[in-house]
Amino acid sequence: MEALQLQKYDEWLAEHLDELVTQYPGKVVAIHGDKVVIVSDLESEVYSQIRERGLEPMPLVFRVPREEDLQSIL
Amino acid sequence: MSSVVTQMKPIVFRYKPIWRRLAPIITMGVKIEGIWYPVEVYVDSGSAYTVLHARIADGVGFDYRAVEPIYLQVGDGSFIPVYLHDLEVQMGAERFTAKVGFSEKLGVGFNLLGRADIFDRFRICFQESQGILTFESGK
Repeated sequence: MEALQLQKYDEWLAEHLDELVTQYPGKVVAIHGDKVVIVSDLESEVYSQIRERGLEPMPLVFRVPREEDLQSIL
Repeated sequence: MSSVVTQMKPIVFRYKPIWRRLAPIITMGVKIEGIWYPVEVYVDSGSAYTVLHARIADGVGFDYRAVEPIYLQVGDGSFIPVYLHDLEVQMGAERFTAKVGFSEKLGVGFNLLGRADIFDRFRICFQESQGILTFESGK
């Protein structure tokens, strides 16, 4: 995939992760075009919607961490 | 006669601010059955392998259970099944094949970027005071 696209997703997350963990803790989100375009409880539902909508480039999909997720890794 | 040494620029990632802390979370690409997927991984030098949550494989329709699992010991002393695959991955503009595991028992909320095929390929510098991690290719 385009290295620039990976970098954009990474930069977007650096700017917005703190907002996401307060808005969507534990949810699965898809980032596309510098915004959250899908929110769900399941990865399978998010990828299914991505395929249905034909979103390109492939959105960044990830489960938004909860505070305890960070504590469990430290 | 002179020799030319090509120096690749390090790949620079920002630490991600989360819950008033900074976390070494980065975005990488993983190619699964011909499609590139961007994924978030927590850079974890304590993990032998890169391990993604199995629900990602389920979500994209990848039969990660097609191989025999190995069992990795985790922080609480228990063993979890991990299904390892050789997948093409991408860090910055660099693509290569790496062992990537999937597990439904990963006890942390994050995907983990572990040592195999990664830490021997890059010199990774955690510069938390500057808020960046750098991956410098050694190959």
